[in-house]
Amino acid sequence: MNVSDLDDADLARRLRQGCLFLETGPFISRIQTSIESVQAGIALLYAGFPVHDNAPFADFHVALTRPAGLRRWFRPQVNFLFDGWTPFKPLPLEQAFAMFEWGMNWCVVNHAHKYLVLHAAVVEKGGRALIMPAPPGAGKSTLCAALVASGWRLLSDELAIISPDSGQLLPLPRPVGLKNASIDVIRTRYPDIAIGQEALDTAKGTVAHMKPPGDSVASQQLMAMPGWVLFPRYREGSALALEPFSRAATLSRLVGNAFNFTVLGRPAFECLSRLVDDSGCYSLEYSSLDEALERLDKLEVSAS
Amino acid sequence: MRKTVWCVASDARLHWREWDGEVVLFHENSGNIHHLNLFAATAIRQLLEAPADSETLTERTASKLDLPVDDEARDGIEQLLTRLKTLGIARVAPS
Amino acid sequence: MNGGCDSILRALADPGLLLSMDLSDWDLFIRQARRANLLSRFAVMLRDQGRLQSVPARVRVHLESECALADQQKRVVEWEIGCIRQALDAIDVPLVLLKGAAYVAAALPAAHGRRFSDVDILVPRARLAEVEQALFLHGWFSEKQDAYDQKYYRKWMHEIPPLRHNQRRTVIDVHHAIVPRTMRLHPDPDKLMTSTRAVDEDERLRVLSPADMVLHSAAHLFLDGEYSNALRDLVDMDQLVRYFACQEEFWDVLLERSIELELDGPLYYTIHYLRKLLGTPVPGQLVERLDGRPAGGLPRRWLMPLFDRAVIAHHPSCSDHLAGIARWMLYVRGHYLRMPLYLLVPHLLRKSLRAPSGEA
Repeated sequence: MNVSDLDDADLARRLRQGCLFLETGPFISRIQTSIESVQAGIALLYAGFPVHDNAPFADFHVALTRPAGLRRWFRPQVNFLFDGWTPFKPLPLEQAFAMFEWGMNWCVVNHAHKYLVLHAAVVEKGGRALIMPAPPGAGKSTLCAALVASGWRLLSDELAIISPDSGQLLPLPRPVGLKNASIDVIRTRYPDIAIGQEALDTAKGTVAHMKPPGDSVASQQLMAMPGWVLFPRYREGSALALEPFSRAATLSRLVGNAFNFTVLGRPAFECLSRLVDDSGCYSLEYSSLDEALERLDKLEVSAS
Repeated sequence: MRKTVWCVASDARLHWREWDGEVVLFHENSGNIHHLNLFAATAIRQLLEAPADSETLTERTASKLDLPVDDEARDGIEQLLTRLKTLGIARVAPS
Repeated sequence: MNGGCDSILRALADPGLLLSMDLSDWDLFIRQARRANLLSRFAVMLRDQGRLQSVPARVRVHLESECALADQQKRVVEWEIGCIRQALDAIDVPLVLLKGAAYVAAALPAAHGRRFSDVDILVPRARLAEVEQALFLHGWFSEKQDAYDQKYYRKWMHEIPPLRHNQRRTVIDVHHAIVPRTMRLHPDPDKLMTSTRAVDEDERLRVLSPADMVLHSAAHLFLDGEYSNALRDLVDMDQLVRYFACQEEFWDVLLERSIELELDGPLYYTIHYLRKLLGTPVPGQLVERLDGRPAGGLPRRWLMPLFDRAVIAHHPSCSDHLAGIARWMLYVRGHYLRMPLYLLVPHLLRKSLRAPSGEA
């Protein structure tokens, strides 16, 4: 049974009562909220994800609630709760769905140290994963959304989850976060793809989430071998430049992008070294999305 | 005055990966990685083989890499040793 | 009252019970143990016993995650101790590790899977300025820039404001006593200092004597006012006394020392809850002698109902409707014990006027 199999009233009831058990990648989250924008966001953007009836065990127990007090009336806010505890300060109510997404990422980053978790977008083609670690503003999420809209499978737009034992990447194909100008870029290029409500004035500017393709969600249990590590950079007016990137520098940057490298210690170092061995390492500078997509489609599997 | 003799900290757990003359060193104790050029990597390997004062280490590193023992090499080694001490990788050898 | 937390307490007494739990038992257990800061202890215990494979796969993921955190903690603390040693090398000062860091350095069973955030050290008060200066030179800075906080710490507390390392971001708490200076009870830090033991060939790196280690933890738990890690602290003391009990006359020394340091009150409550919650074996004679000591302060029958609600996991499933107010009263008591009333009221007012904490 998927989210889309529940009618709106049933979904809202489950969420209100805190018995929506949502399966995303390797995790099951129990979600509770009476906030309508979150309910609508889940209905639209998580349509293809499996739900469980009364799962006996949930990895994460999360809730979004409106804090009590006078503020409720003149400046409504939202809290993210992890098993009854609030790890963050409240945000304005209009940002509730964005906060849900950030909270879900926080759960993984803080509790999934069985895996090595990197801050990177991951897409896949032909069984090989393209890993894109990038600082904010490099155009990572736009490129990721465009790749996914043009046939690559989405593994994750934010979190590369790697099994240190097998070196494989685990999908977590939750909605793709888009920021500011990239929201309109994607809306214009791919008018058929659903994008959720925009949240204005967040810490990251305007934020909206793109619905992940059905195929990516349906194959969310299918792992991928690493194929390429790519450091993309959008620069207005630049000519397309795909250059090999030093492997030592790639390893260094991957470590810098890992959330839990020091938690895992040596297994993380071995795992990322192997990943760098097995991947083509490149930097990409681009201004035209079309050119970038065309070039990345021709990437060959290369091992050192 | 006796020259200061340096060594790699006896409890240092070091792991190396090398590609095309560039080295990534993982210092397991601190959890840090260090991206090294060939000169620094060679010097640390020399120090692992045997403790040395800074002049001897300069000579051994330079000869390994076929470089002249000049002020540039000496400065490089001095800076490296200071840095390695701060990082807890190298120590002054017990006399 | 602790009905909801039974599974944690039972598992502490008999870890084998964990293996007969089903997924829904685990669901609640993991949440309670995580909140009590005890999940990594259970995880490491199961791993050390080679029983992780017998746990359902969905649960094992979380336990393995906790094991990774516990292993990292141990590496970080060992590394940090080495760095502090280096920093203090030039000034030749005895460095006494406290709490978690001490358990790790002395390789005590209490260290297994214990999670903590800071390294606590005790140095002689007369050497405090030198120590702070040496740590500063090696990258540790005080983050509390607020003049009120600085003054509050330096004037009233038993430690200086926490120091954070500018690169590693780790925190040291430097103590010069084990309870605040203003406390009505004040164990003499010199007495503690002279009974410390070296942990290795470097005589300067030390830990408290076995009895003092237990008493420090007891004082911290029952005088402080902050109870979010109370069950974790009790588990520490359970591990400590079980381990030290094989030393001859440990219990006699513990009692005598508690009287000497004016900490027999906290020891009374510690022994009470160790026996009640964790089934820790304690000689009957010690219990009787502690029972016979005057209560000092507030009558025990008043405090017990408050402690009952404070020393369990602070998870909604473990708390009744009085838990919140009980913990608040103990918070005020903690402050009352350490500050004269004319200081306490302005201090609490000041704290309550500031931004509320992140806790719901």
